[in-house]
Amino acid sequence: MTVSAQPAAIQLSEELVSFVQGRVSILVASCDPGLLTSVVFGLGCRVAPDRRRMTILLPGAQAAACIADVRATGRVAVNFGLPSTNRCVQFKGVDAVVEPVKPFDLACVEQHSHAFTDELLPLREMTREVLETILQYTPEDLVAISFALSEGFVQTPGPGAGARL
Amino acid sequence: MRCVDSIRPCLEGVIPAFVATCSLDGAPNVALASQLEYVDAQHVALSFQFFNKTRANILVHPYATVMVFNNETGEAFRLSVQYLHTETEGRLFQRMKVKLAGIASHTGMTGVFKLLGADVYRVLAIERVPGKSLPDGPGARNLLPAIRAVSERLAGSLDLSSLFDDTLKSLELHFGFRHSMFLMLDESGSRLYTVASRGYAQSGVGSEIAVGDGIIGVAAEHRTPIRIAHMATEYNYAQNLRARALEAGIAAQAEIPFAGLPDSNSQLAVPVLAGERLLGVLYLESPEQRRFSYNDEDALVAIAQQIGLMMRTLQSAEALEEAPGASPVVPHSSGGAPVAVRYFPENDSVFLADDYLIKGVAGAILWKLVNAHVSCGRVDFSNRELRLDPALRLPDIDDNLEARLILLSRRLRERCDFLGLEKTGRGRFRLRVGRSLQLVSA
Repeated sequence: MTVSAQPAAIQLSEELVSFVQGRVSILVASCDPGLLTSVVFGLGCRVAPDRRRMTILLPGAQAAACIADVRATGRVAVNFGLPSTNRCVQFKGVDAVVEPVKPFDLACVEQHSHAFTDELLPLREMTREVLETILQYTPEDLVAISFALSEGFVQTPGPGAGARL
Repeated sequence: MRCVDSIRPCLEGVIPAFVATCSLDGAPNVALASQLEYVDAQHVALSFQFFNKTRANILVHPYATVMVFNNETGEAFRLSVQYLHTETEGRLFQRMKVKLAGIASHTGMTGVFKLLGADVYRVLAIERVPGKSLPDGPGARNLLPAIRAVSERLAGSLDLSSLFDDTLKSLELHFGFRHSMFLMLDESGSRLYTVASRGYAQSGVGSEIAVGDGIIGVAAEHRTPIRIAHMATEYNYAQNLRARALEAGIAAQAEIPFAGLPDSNSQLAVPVLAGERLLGVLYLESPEQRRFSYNDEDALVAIAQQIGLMMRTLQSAEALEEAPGASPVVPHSSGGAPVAVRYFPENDSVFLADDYLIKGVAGAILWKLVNAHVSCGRVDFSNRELRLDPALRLPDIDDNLEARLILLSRRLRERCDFLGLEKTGRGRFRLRVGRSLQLVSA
């Protein structure tokens, strides 16, 4: 499937930049040209200075199918959720590319891992070791997916879910 | 293919699952799943609560990927699933509805989460997401030895009364379930009454719950086990009944309080059936969250099957009356001021002096016994004569008489030191009377 490149439609507010780079879970979905979906847990998010693009950091081995899908279709969906408030937003891209990881991405992943652990541990019956296992990665295995924000949606459960951002 | 059974702990929802779908034009979508329910080895169900993008997608392209996590090992799995259909009533729907209320309560979503349907998916493949994992935790305990021990204990129960007590005792001994009760379905099929309990300050024997009311009532109504990890306010009997009793004030005096824990968090209600016929409900609870696992539920369902069969066998045996032995000399009611036994025919309730004791069939039985005692001095009775007494209005078949006698005997033991029932043989019992009785019928 080919998708023509579209201009970035939305710009994140400063508040949303803080939200997606904060204590949130990051869920990344893709689908292949045959419409078979894949999904993986993201390890960090970096928003570009113009607030119209974002880069999601992924564990390469676990995200192999997603990465292949993105290379094939350019399409991606990313959900950010804050467990303590149930607030969720989702962003989509149609021009996603797989990029080399930048030197400072490792710090981004480390910071997200700590922030998300601090958020989740008091809320769920699980140990720090389990959460570290879920968020496991090796620096050399990190992969970055970067895309312009073509669409954004509120995804907090309730009557407002699905509204465009 | 790895079957769903092998990853069942991941479906408990400690770490929420998430689901990826896509539209026909190839736009992916990802969302948290508030509830993922085990259906069988090849099927799972997702809660349908809102008409959202996930739902719009699966209706036009019924393939999705669900990611789940094991909260003890940290392992992650991806399930390739195919949407089949949506159920809006029945056992699966009711199980998920009650459980979702608990999840909503736990996550601050009460009033937002409401089950519209149970979306059933076939699991096409299960992929273990690469990565290291931690060793299994204590949740992986093998329950087969405990099931065997309980089963052997129950097989040795000689009558219904000991079957109820043996069940609850052995569940504590072999499973560590400290708060439990057994409720029987009444003759009308619309109410359940407690005949045995364990682990409560007040036994609650004789307390009633309407079929369909709360977790126990839903389990009974739909003949399906209900297991929840977090208490939902709308399903907490103990709290709700206390609140109602306070509102009702004096009218609540003729109700026996339900024994349930006020701080209950985990609950498991398992229907006890004989074939398709509901006999009662076995109920367990705990102040701990997530006390009962899928495996516990399986174990209790298997044990409940045995209880159902044994209840039928033991009830049949009780119906075969033993020949009476020589009637012993029983001292007549001893002295002291007579105590009033008050009877209200409209609901067959019996009060001892001013204290409510029992109502319904058990109340009518007690009234018959004390009348026979006061007028003729009788103390020995048979189940058969109760069955033949038209005044008791027992149904011709499956009358639950033995369970009613157990209930009456236990209420008397708890509430009264001058009246009691003692079994004297199969299908026979004796009324023990320690004071003069003055019978008063309203």
